[in-house]
Amino acid sequence: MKHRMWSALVLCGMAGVVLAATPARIVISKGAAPKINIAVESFGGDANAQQVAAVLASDLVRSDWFNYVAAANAEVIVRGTVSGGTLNGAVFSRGGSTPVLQKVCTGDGSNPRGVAHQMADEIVRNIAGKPGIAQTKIACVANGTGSKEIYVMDYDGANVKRLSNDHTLTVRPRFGPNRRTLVYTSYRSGWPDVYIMADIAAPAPRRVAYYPGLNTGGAISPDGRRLAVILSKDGNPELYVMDLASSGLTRLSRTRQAEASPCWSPDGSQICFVSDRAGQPQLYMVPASGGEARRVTFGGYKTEPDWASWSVSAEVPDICFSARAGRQFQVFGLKSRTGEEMLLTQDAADNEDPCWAPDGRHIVYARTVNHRSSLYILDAFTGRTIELNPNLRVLGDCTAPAWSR
Amino acid sequence: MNTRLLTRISVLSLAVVLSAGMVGCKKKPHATPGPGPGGLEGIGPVSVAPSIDTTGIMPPRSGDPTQRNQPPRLATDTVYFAFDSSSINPSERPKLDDMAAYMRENPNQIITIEGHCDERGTAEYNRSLGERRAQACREYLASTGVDGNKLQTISYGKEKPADFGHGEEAWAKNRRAEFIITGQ
Repeated sequence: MKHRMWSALVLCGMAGVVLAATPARIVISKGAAPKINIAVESFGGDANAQQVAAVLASDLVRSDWFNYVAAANAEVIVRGTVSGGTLNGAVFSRGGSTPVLQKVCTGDGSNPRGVAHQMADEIVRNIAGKPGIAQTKIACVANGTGSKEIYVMDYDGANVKRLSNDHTLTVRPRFGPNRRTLVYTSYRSGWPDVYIMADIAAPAPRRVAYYPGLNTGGAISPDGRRLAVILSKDGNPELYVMDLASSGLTRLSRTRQAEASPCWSPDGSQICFVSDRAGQPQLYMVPASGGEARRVTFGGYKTEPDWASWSVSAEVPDICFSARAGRQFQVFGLKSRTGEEMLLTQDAADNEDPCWAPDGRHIVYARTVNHRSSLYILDAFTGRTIELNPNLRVLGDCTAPAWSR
Repeated sequence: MNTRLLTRISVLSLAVVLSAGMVGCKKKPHATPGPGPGGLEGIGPVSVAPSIDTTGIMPPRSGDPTQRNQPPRLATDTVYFAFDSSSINPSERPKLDDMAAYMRENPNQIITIEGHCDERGTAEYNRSLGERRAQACREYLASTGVDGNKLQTISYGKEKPADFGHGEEAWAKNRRAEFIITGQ
């Protein structure tokens, strides 16, 4: 599916306040990618059939590659039968009698949403030609128990599960290259340490960095073998890479200032991180094996980078970050190839801690208004934002979201 | 004991801790002893401008910073910082000098320096900035001859404000370093 409708608007007035010193052009997206009109017909089969159909329809809308329409207006129609936890799905083009896609999605019946998510990803991959996100997970920090604990949920906010039980500050979750591994920081020992859960389905945290001082900011490399991490054991917060097999460390920064928030390039060769070595915090890049760090943003207060694992289009930035814009924080994008910065959110809120979905299109972030925080999803293609799921408010303030790869 | 002697002792003890670290300090999360690919000597080619080497390697952790002994904290010695800064203001130096004197009188006490930030920054950057603030106090105290091995740091970033308000008055109280006794 082609999407050439992206258009950009230079924000002269407001950019001037924040980023007067920034050479990069600041734009906000006002475009819309064309969508395929799709319908999901009533499913046959057992008692779960209509729930599966409804979840599938919701998934197709959330993918943002489809408009959900009545069958009469659809270019593509989905039909299916659900029985014993298994969905037999088929996709037809309008007027066609031969399916353009058939898929048997198997489950044990305990999670009907799961088979719907499988089918949705098949349709997104085969009909829209894009990576699907319906089977991904989102982790976040929430404070409803009186402590900061880490929770994980399906990408649509369903099936919420608390992963930590540390009764303290448990923060900064980040997924590894698969959908099961999570790295995070917890003060459960009394000190900030970095832990890895190899499988969030069976939480068994392993403490991987517990040096004197600060241990935080863990980010697992795309090959799963290395951990970028911030340690202050040598007398100052610095960026290191730990070999996870040997625990051996390579030090990547050497400053008298603060480093924070590393993330990996999709090929694992570069690390983007925050440093305030030039005054206010800015984004830098450094080869993951060591070398000269290169400053990539200029002016203002710029933090919390995340690098997309897949690039949907040269017109969509591949790094997202949060930066001060006037009195508030907004989500920005950065094109790593050109250094062009783009303002991606713009509302009366603090929008922080952005993290890419593996489709390179959606970003989850924490939106704070009147000191209450909840999770929102941004479509970086169109600039449209929606609350992830209002039901999550029962968890308290939700912050620091991470999207599985 | 004069200051120069104290300095010598702290340099000596720092060297002892350094060499202890090389042979497999228990706080290292792995058992690989000695210099090697993962040791302090094994740092790959690193050059980051502007490059100033950091001071003092941190001592092994001691005590539980959440279990505060009496007095729970040395409240009068809270050191305050300017926005987004970890520099010690001249106005705060007398507090650190008092702290140094206290530590000289109580040379066996282990002090944990807590670094804190106001709510305006982002969480992880503030966690590093809070650590920088605690480390700046540690460096200052060590420069007066206090034994750096009795000084450990912890950063809470913006997670534990002293004042829950949302204006400059509250923020100024929250950009701080506090000192707690965590062991003998």
